[in-house]
Amino acid sequence: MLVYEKQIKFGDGDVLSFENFFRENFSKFYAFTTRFIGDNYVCEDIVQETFITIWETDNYHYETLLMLNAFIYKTIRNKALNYLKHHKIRKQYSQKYLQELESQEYMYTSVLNEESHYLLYKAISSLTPQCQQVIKLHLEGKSNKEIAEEMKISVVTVKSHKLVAYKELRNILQHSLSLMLYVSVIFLKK
Amino acid sequence: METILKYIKVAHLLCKERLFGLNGKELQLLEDWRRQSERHEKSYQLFQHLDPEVLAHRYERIDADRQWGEFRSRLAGRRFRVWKAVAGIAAVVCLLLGGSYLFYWNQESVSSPEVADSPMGGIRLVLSSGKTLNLSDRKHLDIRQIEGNAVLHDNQLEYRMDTLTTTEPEYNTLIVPKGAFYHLILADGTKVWLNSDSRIEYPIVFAENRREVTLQGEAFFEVEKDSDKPFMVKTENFNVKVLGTSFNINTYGDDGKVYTALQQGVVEVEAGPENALILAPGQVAELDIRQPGMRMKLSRMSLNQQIAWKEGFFCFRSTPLSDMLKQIERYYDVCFVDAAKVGEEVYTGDISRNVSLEELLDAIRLQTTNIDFRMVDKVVYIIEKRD
Repeated sequence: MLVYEKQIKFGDGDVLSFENFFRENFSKFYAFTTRFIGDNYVCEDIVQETFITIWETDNYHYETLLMLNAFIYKTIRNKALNYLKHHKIRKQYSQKYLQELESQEYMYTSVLNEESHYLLYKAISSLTPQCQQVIKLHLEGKSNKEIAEEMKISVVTVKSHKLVAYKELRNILQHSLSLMLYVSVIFLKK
Repeated sequence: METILKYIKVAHLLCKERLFGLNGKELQLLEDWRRQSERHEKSYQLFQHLDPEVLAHRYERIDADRQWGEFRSRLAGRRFRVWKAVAGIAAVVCLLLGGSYLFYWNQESVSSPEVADSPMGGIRLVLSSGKTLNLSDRKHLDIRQIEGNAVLHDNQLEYRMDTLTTTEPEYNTLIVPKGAFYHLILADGTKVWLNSDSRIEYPIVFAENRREVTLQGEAFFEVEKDSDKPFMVKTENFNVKVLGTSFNINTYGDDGKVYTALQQGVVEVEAGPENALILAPGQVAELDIRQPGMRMKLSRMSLNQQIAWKEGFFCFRSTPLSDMLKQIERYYDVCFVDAAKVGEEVYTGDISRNVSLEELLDAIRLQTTNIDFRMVDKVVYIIEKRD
């Protein structure tokens, strides 16, 4: 019998359920893969196989959750390029486009975009519908008064929704907020 | 990896900025980063004008339940595919390092007794008379030399108690060169899988009260149970005592250590007086041979990693490239030149041993940042990658 319950243990002491990690992140990595390959089935296959790799990895292989994410991005990108290399699809792409896809910069930009977009999506979608609406309008640059008018609620209610939303968002982003310290270290090195 | 990490962290910074705003120091970091390149600035602008509705559309295309179901069935399918690969029936499956198609097999799975094809010949059997036979050269092999004692199959030598004609304590030595792989069945029924570049010395008939063999290199043993005759494997640095059990011994010392990995039963690994370890199934003992007198200890290496070769795989888990190259040298019988150019990079991934050397090197080339390979005959030159 195969057991499908597995924990990913990190060097820094973090422990994560494999299934949760898979469910939480599959769509993010899938979307990332589509930046390289147009065929949905191939994209699914690449992400699936990458997760198999992670399943087989020994505990404590990754120091942090971030490193695991970085590893998955890198793996997917290499698989995708390899797929392009070994299939005729390559011929359909222009040389210039291929060069762009294969560049390091393209990978980094793709990681940046996918990660930031997904984080924003996750943060917003975790809110109640009312709070979501308020935050979306806020992101469009609307003032409290404008939001109140559009949603036909009072300014006080808008403010209280915002308060709840920010508290919730802070919770979600907490993990990443604690990382800021490291960012500065890395920038210094550069 | 470091650079990817940096970009992930910047992504989090962007998100924080848009939702809450940043403090002075963070803002400064972000502005510095935006100025670093045009791409950075573009990504920043894109993020500022991102419509959450579009994002929902992007990420809700995937049905997580369906994908999880698919994942489970892929895991379940692994065992079958492994068996096929080991039996040598399966077509070549191209496996990549790091981002590899990994085969999952259950620890309890019964290993196939078939042995993978030896890519190259030259398996030698040294008889007690000192005469050497080339088992790979079936055409010129004088089978009478071993007749009555052993039966020769494809890639397998089997000693049989019932047909043994000798009663003298005669020793044979089986030598498996680089690039080959062999299967041996001893007179007591014990099965031995020998990895490349290995040799084993054993009596044709075991003594009354004990069974002893001597090993160099790597082998997997499936010992026939016989509590009256304990089985012992001697190696240069340690001995392994067993009753009935299956285990792997690796004395290559690629990373300066030698290993014993236990699959079933109980074994005692002894490297000297008061330097012994009793293993439970799944455990791996390691001994550092770079310095004399080091203590035997439990290894972080996994059982699966140790026995992968027998299942038809290279199994790398944070393995330094230099150690990987040593395994490749033995299996494909090649020699790497300028291996010093290989940095400290480590790799994780499983690769079928059915792939050609070219495919394997291609896979490594794709993963490494700074090296490339050029093959001339059986010599592989390591050169710096040109971008």
